[in-house]
Amino acid sequence: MSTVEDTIVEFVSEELLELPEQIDADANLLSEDMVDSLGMLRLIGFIEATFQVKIPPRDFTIENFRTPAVLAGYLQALINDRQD
Amino acid sequence: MEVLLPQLVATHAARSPGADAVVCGDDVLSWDSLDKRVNQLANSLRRNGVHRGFRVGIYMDKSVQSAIAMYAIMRCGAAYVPLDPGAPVSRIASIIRDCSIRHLISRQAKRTAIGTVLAEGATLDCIVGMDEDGLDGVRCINDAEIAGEDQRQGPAVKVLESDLAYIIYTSGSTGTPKGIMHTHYSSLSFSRWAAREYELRADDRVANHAPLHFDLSIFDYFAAAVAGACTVIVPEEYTRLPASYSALLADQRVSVFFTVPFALIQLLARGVLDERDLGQLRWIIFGGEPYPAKHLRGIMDQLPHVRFDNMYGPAEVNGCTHFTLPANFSADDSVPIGPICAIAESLIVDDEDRVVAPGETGELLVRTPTMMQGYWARDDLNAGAFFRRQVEGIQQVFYRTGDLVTVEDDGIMHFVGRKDRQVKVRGYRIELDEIEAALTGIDGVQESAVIAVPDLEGSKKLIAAVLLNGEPRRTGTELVAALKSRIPRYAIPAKVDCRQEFPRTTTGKIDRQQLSREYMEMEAR
Repeated sequence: MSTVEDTIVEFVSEELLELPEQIDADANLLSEDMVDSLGMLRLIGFIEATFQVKIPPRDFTIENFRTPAVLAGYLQALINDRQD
Repeated sequence: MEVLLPQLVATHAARSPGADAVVCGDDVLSWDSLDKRVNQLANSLRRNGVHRGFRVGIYMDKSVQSAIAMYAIMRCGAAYVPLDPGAPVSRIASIIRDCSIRHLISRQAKRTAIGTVLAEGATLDCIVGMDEDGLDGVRCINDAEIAGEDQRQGPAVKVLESDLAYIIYTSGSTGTPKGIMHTHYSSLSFSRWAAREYELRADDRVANHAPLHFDLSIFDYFAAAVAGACTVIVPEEYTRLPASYSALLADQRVSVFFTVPFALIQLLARGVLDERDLGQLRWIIFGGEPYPAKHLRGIMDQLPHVRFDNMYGPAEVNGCTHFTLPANFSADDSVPIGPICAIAESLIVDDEDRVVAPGETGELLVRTPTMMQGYWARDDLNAGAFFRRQVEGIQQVFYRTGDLVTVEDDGIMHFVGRKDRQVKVRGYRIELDEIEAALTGIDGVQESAVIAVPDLEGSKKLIAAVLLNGEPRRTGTELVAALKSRIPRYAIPAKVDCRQEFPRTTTGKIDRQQLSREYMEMEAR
């Protein structure tokens, strides 16, 4: 498991859920009871601050944010691009 | 028979059976198939004991199934009660108990939550949308059983205009949600007015952003149905991700879009609107809370072909004023709520119910056919919710909005603030008293004050100041966790500030203004 993925799982599990519980890296972040619209803003703010990235507007899609694993994959590519 | 809400479906099914009625992702229902599915579900509900006047809960994310459920419940002569699928189960249980819901339409994913609702002391006879029995003493009805029902016609039930169509629950200041009752007459009066006013047509595609427990959804479904237009349901996941949301608006050729400023601000910031073909979009209507002018101007510049309109009205009266923004609207102007609509009249009064002089601020009272019947089983609230006066021997009943407004010479009104401590956060009505009641209900909390401060997203942020009284020594995180099982998510404060002391007024009350100044400075840093 990557560090990016761990960090996202930990933040969502502890900060965004109605009752804190450990979620799976493949859990659907967008299902009901998971991350609501304000939670999504908090997640975006957290990600951008923690990984020092700026997510381009066109990337705010369901495809990129579906699960912690998917999101981590997307962010890793963004971080790698920045380092290139 | 008079055409009431459920008959709108049958009427369109006869006139234009193949036209799209409700769309959600890949699920597309024509008026004909919607009518058939509504008949089947209504027959099943009837067979399982739903009578005229009953309240039936809808407990699921919005989908074509929830649209079918709304109409089927009304076709039985019952009122639908939309329950927030994301609300704490204790709140769901309290609503079920409050209006004696015996039948619930839900789906398999809600099974665990429903088990907890039952454990919280709510009693249900029947749950529709569940695969198998197994919940103690509750009959479960699955989709296959419903598919076996007659689809040609629904149950023969007499329904009058004055019968309840739905009850929408909203925050109450004491911590108990209150149920706003609307009849077929009040919701149809609003829907017909809105369909006329916004010139809705059968070829319109009206987006449904709001969840069903949010009154904006009445426009999305019933004003659209009056015109024979299609309702395009925006699945919840799209509302969280602006770039996908704007793609959906384009792909689904949405022409009328009623939403909250928060969603539009997100779409402008992260929705790549300039990359989407939104040529078919003709109306963006917003409501629920004030729209900061600079954000509004921003999206108007991005979509110059669209007409923007501010629709105002508490859920108790649906809409009662609206204002279409002129193309030259300036980012420095304030956004008016508009003149009272043609089918309503208004009074602006002071604390003693005397009409204020022109230009002065007062509470807006509204008399309109779109007004609620009252709050469910709350004679205490109903006594204070209305203002009654006799004119030429006829009693006139006005709803007290609690909103302070000023009116210009041309009749255009501006929202100034609230008479009480209600705030709007991302369109949701929140009673600060309710959050404080929930906080002080937690062991270890002596006093609390919840303050709303403006945030960077064009809405507000809640900060809770808390005074602890010894054991157990709570932390802010613990308090937030405890709140999550007591109040809806949208009402959870963004920060909990555990303090040693409160600023006090000379009479010893918490000085909320001082706290407010303190937090605004803190947020601005």
